[in-house]
Amino acid sequence: MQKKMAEFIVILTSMRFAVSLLVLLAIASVIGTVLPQAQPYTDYAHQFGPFWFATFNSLGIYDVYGAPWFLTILGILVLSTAFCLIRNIPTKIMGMINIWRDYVSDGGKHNGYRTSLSLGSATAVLASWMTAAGYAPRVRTTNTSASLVSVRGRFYGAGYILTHAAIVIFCLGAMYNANLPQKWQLWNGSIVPETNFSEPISDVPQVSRLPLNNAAYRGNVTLPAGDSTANAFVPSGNGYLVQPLPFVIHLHKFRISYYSNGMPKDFVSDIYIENHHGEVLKRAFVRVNHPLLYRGVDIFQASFSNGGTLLHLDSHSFSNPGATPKHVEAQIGDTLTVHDKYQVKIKSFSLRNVIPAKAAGVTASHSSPYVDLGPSMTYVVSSPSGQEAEFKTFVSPIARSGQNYFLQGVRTKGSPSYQYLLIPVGPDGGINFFMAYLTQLRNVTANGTKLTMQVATTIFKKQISTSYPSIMSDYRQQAKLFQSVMNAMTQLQAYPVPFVMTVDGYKHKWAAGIEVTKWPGTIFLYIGSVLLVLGIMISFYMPQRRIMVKLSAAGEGTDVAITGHSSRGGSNVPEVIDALYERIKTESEGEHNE
Amino acid sequence: MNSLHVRFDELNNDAGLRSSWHPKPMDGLWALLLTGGAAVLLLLFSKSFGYWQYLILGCWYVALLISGLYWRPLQIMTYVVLAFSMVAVWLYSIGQTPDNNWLMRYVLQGDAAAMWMSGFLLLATIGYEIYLFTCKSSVAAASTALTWLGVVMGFTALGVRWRETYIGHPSWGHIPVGNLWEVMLLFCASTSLFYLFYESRYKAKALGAFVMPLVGVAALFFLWITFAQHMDKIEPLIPALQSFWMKLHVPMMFIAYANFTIASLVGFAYILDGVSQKRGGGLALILPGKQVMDDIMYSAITFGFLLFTISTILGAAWAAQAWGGFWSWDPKETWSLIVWLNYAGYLHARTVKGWRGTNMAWWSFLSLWVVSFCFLGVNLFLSGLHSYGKL
Repeated sequence: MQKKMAEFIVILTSMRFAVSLLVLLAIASVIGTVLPQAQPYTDYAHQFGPFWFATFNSLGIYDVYGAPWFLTILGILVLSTAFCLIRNIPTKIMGMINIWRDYVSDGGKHNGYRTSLSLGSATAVLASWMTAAGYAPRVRTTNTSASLVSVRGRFYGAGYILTHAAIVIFCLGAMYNANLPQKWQLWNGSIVPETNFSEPISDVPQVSRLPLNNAAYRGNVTLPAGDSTANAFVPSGNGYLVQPLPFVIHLHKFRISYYSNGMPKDFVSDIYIENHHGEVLKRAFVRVNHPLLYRGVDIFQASFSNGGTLLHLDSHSFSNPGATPKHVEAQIGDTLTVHDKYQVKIKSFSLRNVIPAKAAGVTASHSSPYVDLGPSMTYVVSSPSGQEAEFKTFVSPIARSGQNYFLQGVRTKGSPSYQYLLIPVGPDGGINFFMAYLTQLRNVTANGTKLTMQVATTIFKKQISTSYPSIMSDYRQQAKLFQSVMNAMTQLQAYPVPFVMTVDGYKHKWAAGIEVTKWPGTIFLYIGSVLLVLGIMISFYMPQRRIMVKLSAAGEGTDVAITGHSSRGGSNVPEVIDALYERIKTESEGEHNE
Repeated sequence: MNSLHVRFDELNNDAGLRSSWHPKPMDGLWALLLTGGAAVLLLLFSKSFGYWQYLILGCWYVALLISGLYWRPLQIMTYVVLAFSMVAVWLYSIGQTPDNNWLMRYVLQGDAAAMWMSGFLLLATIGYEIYLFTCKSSVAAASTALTWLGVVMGFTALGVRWRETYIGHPSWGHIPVGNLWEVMLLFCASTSLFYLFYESRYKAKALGAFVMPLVGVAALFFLWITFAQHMDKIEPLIPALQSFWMKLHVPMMFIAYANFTIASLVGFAYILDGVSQKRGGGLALILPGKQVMDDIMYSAITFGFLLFTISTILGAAWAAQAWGGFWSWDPKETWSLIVWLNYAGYLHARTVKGWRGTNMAWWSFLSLWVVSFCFLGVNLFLSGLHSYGKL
């Protein structure tokens, strides 16, 4: 049994095994970069079909880096490193303390030499030559023997200890942060992830709740502006676990600032940390790259989303332009039925639409080549015949060459860009003038009158006098407006639905994605990092080169044995040994010849 | 007696490669100018410095000082790059722009200087290939000179672009390592610079014929993303990238990539050297010898590995600030772990097992694919947190 254990440790600590593990781990890591990890399981099922989905699931491919087999490889690697470390620490430390120790020489074929020089003079000359070769020795003598040792890079062994200890410390820190006991509980079923994402938090069963004093966790929570939370959600497998927090996070405000080209510049969550009685303990602005550390818990700005924006919408009918627009309130994600049988799904609402001024057809201001077209709403309309089109409605009118327009983009399914419908707006800034004019035209043609240009102009003038008196005397403006109205009517021919949605008003609300982590093992990660870098520096740039000369008196002469050792190839140790032998031989012969 | 003393002195240098260092007057100037430069920066900006800025300045100061003393051509290069960049910055400051000044338009603005760099490096690549087949030392000297010109223009381009990111929109300003265009520029310039270092240290000009083609390919790719993808457009940084960590993490990573790349291509030369020796070809005669190539490979990999390790750790520390986790198994992170494990394996095999020769050259050469995938492949083919360089 003991023998087997010893054999096992020999294999575990062998270099071949370690290098194989390094390579195996590298290859295994590739899997998770090729297959997107931690997606909803339905996506995988759709992608692989039922058989492969189940097979891959049992292999843990959807969360490779948390899969038992992957963690086992990692564990064995750490174990191997730890055993190597334990086995080698004594020799490495002894090597640093005791420089007189014998090493296996890599000096080559020499068997020693007997010189006719006396012990004293042989010691003296060898010491001076070693110094000349850059290996100034330390000398130890007795009456009958002497040792000369020169060690460059004495603390080379520390490099080995530091790098390997760093890996072990690192992994211990990471294991602590990964909360292994909890992984075990998940595995044996005493904790079960909740998979119903729409359930209110109070209904989540106890088995899906983590303890308040949990050792380590990484959770997240989506918090609409004005809301508070005392829990975070830890994603786990196909569901989530509820992690109670030691305080309440209240999101006071969420703010995005922008660059002039419309790219986001900063995401800021203005949060209050409160105790459970609503008392404010701390206020902080949490930004990307600037988390808040509070009582061992880190709070990060992770993402943002819509937090319940309320839209006031009007639907105007083109087929019955005279009818009062239907007013409706909606939130993003809602589906409305408009114009009897059209399904309108509110897709998104954005506060800004920054585009290059050239693309908007307006002249750029001096300060910036970009313009902000203001807020817009996107919605998808499904017609009764099943056709779909996407629409983009801008809240505020857009000015173009002296006339303001209501702007509405349309794109049918599969088309990459929007076609724009431009409806000129009247004195109220809305499309009511246009709709009223449409109504008048319709009334006239319903009476059987043929629609000619003259009829159209007459009705237009009448319309101006009743609902746009401010431009009564401005004929240029009238002409512009008339031209725009005619253009809009032409564009309407190709418009796919008989109505248009306008945004009458809105109450925008953000939600901040907040990440909450508790990682007490982090200090070990930093210690490990520092040790690792130090160790690598020592291993690479303080290589050990060691030359040792042993002399012992033999009658009149002296026996000389020179050994050497270097920690890396390309050193001059073998050459120095050769040269030292050569010198002592020449010196002895010279003495004989004299 | 005397002759033997000379031999011992020679032994004092590792195989004659590392000559002992003696100060020269130019070193004094170097130390003086660097210290003066650092002092000026402190005088101008110390009001807006946090302690991290002091740390970064300190790191750059020490690293430049030591590298310049260790390898003197770096001093000259720094002077030239600084002079060019400062002329450009000065011209911008007096209202000269690429629109109204031909020197800015065709030479000094970031884009133009980068084009010059690409041109010089491509010419240098051709030069080194010609040298490989003609063995004319004048051709080798010309190729080296062209590489130097490329390096100078490359770093000038980076310096000027750094200034340009602030022009017109001060809040956009950032160190030019924020998108694929900028890092490709850095990659071309720094790989060439490190190649020049190894070339001059080991007097190994023929290696240029192996290292520079990859730089040439990188330069072509760089031209393609400039003209076909218009990635040279200056854009501001997304919030996650607005961090002092970027000034350390990215440049260090690219010094590591440069060294790994050189090591792997020297490995390729080593393999061909072996083939050539077997067949009695001429290649082995012009290459610097197996021992030297082995040394270059090892030096480049160790230096690269050290910087790669530090840079990955800095990246993890940054990720902990920005994304709330040291390690998210994001594709870039995973691939950098793969690169790290790969070279850790290589170094173990070499230092502990003492493996040398053709097998290790193959290992070093094949590692290029792992490194390139980590550097470019991840951004081009996979998506994740590091998706800044999408085409």
